[in-house]
Amino acid sequence: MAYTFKLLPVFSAALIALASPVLARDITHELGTTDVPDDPKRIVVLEFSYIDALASVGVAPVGLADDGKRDRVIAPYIDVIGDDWVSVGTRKTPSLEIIASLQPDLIIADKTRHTAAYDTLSEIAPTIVLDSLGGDYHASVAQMAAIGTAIGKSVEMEARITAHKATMAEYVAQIKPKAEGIAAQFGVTNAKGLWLHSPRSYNGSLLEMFGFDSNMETADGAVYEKVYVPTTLEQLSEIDPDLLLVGAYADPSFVDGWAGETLYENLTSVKADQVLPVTAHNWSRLRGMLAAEMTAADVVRIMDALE
Amino acid sequence: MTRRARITLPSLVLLLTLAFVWSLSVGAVKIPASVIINTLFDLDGDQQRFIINRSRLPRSLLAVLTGGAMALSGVIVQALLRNALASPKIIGINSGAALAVLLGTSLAPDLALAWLPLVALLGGTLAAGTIYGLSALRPMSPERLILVGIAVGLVCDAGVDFIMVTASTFEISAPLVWLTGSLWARGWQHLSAVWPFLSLLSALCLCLFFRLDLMRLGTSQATALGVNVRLERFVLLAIATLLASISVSVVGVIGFVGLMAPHIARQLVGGRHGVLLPTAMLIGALLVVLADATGRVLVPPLEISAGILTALFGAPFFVFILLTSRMETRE
Repeated sequence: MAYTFKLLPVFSAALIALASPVLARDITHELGTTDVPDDPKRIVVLEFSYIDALASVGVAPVGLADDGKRDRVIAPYIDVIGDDWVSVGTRKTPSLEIIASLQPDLIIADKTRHTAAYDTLSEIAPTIVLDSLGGDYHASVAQMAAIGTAIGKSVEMEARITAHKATMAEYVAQIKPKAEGIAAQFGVTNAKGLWLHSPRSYNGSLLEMFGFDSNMETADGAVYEKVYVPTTLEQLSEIDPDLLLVGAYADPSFVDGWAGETLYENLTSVKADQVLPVTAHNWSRLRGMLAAEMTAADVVRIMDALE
Repeated sequence: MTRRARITLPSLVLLLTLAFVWSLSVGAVKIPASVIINTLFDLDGDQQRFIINRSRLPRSLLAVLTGGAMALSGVIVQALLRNALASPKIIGINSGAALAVLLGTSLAPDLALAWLPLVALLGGTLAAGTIYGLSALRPMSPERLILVGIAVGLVCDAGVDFIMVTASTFEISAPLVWLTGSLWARGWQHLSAVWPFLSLLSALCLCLFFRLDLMRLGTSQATALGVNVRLERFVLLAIATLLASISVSVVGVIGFVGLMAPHIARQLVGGRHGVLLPTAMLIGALLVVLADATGRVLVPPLEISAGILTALFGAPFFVFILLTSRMETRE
């Protein structure tokens, strides 16, 4: 008996050693730490950037939030993840019933949108929560690594991130000389208004990485409200970027309605004919590595055209 | 109890039961009736534990509880203020709660979500307290209370608009889902947080029907009958405030139930509170259960907020019943 007790620490040590691979699968995220299965097979993602992450390592989700419009998942993603996934509804209020019916073994949710549903989501499956909507580009790449670990593909993900960084470095090398001294600004517009993406935002941080200046006051703290800033024509004329990239969700857009107004016509970007359209969906809703590479390619094209 | 009430009350109970069963059986995922029964009563067979037991059941129960509470709150407010347009909104609960939630989320974005219900409760009671306090500065009259209520409500609404404009976001975030009134992602944890209070207050409210009958006679007559009008008005308003604030805090701003349910009930069974209160409660519950279930099945997997649908369902019926009712049934 005494002998057994002496062996107990040895047994425990052996148990801990055996258990450690599982411990390594404890994923720390925005809302705590979640024990994620070793090799999740049925993954549900509730933001577009998480599709980017899965597609980066060739993993297809069983369900995703596409806002009820399947074409919001763009062709380059479909090429990798296929078309067998189920729509779980909007990113804002995804259908918990559909998610449950898919019997997922991992759910990836967004901090801004899904914190209120975290407990309920966790009842369905292990859930990790990342800050996709409020984070910048660098945070988005860091999230890719976190997702790689969560889905048991950290090695593949690290390789993809390394390749992505090399690709981006090439783009930066192409853009930077031409971006020197130019204040660039991205914004989205619908029928009701214009929202500028501040230097704290995903797109803002990308433009900064490409070597552009920003005339927007840098907001302190990455508070969601300060990442996307509703902007009037007067405010825009104060910021007055040299290059204004506009993603329009409506035709005619709110910005189109400014044509002919003195304040608008006197904008540096308008006078220089440098108000240029970009695809609103790709720029504004998508975040991630493939998304960033598409944005970079857009910027290369734009800078080439400007020359 | 009149003959009409003897028919109406059991019919409403039956309707609510049917609506409840319907609410359990519909959603974005189609589940056969046999599976639902198996899951509910834990018999053998295929189980859909999460969808039935963890999602639809608590949601439907919460809809019954909050719908009933909002309707009761509406009856009290209308009786005290002796005004057909009165509703919990008049005593500033919706606007106060909404302002508090938006203030909370914009001042402390990290803290707010988990504390949203408590913040809403605080905002609602604070607004109602302010209204009551201000109108008690002079000898209280229903008219003054209504006008002060409208003024305070407008200030809160202006605050909501101000925050929405200055801190507005292109992508609608969580507080805005709450503002439209939705039972999305509500579960047992929400139900267990509110049911003791809501059922206790609702029961209390149902027991106080005879005091409401007296209050409806007006201040002077009620006083002549020996009612301490000031005290009773305060107690009844406090109950109405708590009923509505607690409901709003957990399901958000579900509009019109507090206004419509009492009116529909009054047209059905008349103005005596002994039957008016339970009738209104059943109608309020019915409205919210139907709105929530319909919101889930209309365009799945998208969810339409219950707050949008209560207005859509209730308003036409409300107008119909007002237009077809005879004058003598109005009181």
